[in-house]
Amino acid sequence: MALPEELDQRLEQRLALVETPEYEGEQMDRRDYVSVLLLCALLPVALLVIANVIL
Amino acid sequence: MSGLDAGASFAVEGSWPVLPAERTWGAKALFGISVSAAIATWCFLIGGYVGYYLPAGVGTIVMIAGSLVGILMIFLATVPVSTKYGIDSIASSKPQLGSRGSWISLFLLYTTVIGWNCLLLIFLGRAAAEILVALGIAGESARQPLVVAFAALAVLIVWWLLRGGPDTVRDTGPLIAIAVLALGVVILVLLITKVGWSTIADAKPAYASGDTALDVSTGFEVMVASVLSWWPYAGGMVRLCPSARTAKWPVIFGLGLPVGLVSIIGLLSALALPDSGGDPTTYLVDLGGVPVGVVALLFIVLSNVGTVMVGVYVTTVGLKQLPGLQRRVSWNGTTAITLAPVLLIILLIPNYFFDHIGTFLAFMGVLFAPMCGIQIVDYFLFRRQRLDVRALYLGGRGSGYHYWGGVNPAGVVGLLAGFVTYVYLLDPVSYVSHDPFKYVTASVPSAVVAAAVYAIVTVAAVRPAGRGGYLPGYEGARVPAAAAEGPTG
Repeated sequence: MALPEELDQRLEQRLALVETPEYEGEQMDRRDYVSVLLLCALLPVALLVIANVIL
Repeated sequence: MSGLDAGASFAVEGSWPVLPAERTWGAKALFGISVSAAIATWCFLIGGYVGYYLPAGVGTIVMIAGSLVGILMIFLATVPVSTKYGIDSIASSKPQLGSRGSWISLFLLYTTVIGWNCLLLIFLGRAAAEILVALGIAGESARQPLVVAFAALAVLIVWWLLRGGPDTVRDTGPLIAIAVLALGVVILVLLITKVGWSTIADAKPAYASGDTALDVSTGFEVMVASVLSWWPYAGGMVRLCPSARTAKWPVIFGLGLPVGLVSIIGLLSALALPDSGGDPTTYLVDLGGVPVGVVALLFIVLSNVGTVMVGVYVTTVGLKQLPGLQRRVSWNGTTAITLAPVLLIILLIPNYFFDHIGTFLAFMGVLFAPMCGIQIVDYFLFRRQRLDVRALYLGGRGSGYHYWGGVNPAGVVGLLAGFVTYVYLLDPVSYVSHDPFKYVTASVPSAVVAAAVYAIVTVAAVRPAGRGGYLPGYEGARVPAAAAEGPTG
């Protein structure tokens, strides 16, 4: 196990990196969110309507 | 952890943010791991529970809908933030609950995963014991000791497999997923050919109320609440993925939808064999004969090992949020801490725990809907998808997420409001519901109420007090690691 001081230093270095935008993971755009909402919100509502009608 | 320096190893095995170059899980690996985590014995029980309220056709449709809505809430709450900063679900809850308030989510993670793992491992023990009994290797009287012995052995195997860190989860996950999917199809075919599709399709659910909307909502809610318990897993997994776009479909099609699809097997088996309650260990050998039954039982053993591995990995990462564990206890030591209560329960009270697992997990599940609600409203509305990463890990006074004594009252009040809303709409133990449950279900309104209360308290009290790092001009905490009250992550 590393010493606490070493860990503090490593954490500092890492946080300094993560704070810069180039180290952020690539994000989704509006189109990605729309596709997710279509599949996971709109489709379930349609399925529930169908289920109520069938039953 | 070959190829990673000590800091990277600390991040991947611990709770520090993982840099893009260190995120080794691509879409295929994440999908495989998600599927292997999602497909387990609990799917059969969930489907079996839905089978009490809904017939085969409608139940299938409703379960798919419920799994998609459940995963949508998990997705919006965890994936964008975890993939952006390489952080797990616990760290991502600090802006809403506070650096110390996030211990609530850590408690939820620990107890929920312990509960699931106990359930899965006892099921594993049941399946393994059934194999020996079916093959004539052991007698009926040895069944109970065998259940305990196999479950305890599985605990040790999982600990041993996880010695390699998350790489083990990544490498074994896809293999297990392929085996599980193939064998899942065998079980489905077995049910349809041996019992008959018309028998299953015509079977009446045992506890259907006769009120269409109420039965549909109840079945839907069972599914949504079950998928919501993926909250701790999702963040811990996608933080090792390089981008939200890479994680998008693997999470939905790997972690959400398979739960709905595999639960169909539980639904059909509960309708075909009402006494089984969806539990395949009770009927596989009778239905398929010894050869097929034994192979299918092996499916349960394999899939449950995969699921428990992911659960223990995610819990271990979550426990590394505690400074004492992050700095003083090794990876293997922390996985042992995660597994120790599971082993104790298996050895001491397996039957008692198994009989009461539904009550225990139901109360855990109802908290994840409000959690998702407050996370979504905070991240997208108040913070505009930007967190102060430094404040996530250095939570002393002056840090943006220190709030009052490390706790954000808006988050706590929001969680409570969501919890009360859920319990009012649907009692998670008795499944007694109140209007307007049959029109709005419980998880979604619970999340909406929690988000609304969180937003009101934030606007009325937290933001005006200058807490939470919301004010314009706030550029992040400037607390150095050594001077902070101790890294919270």
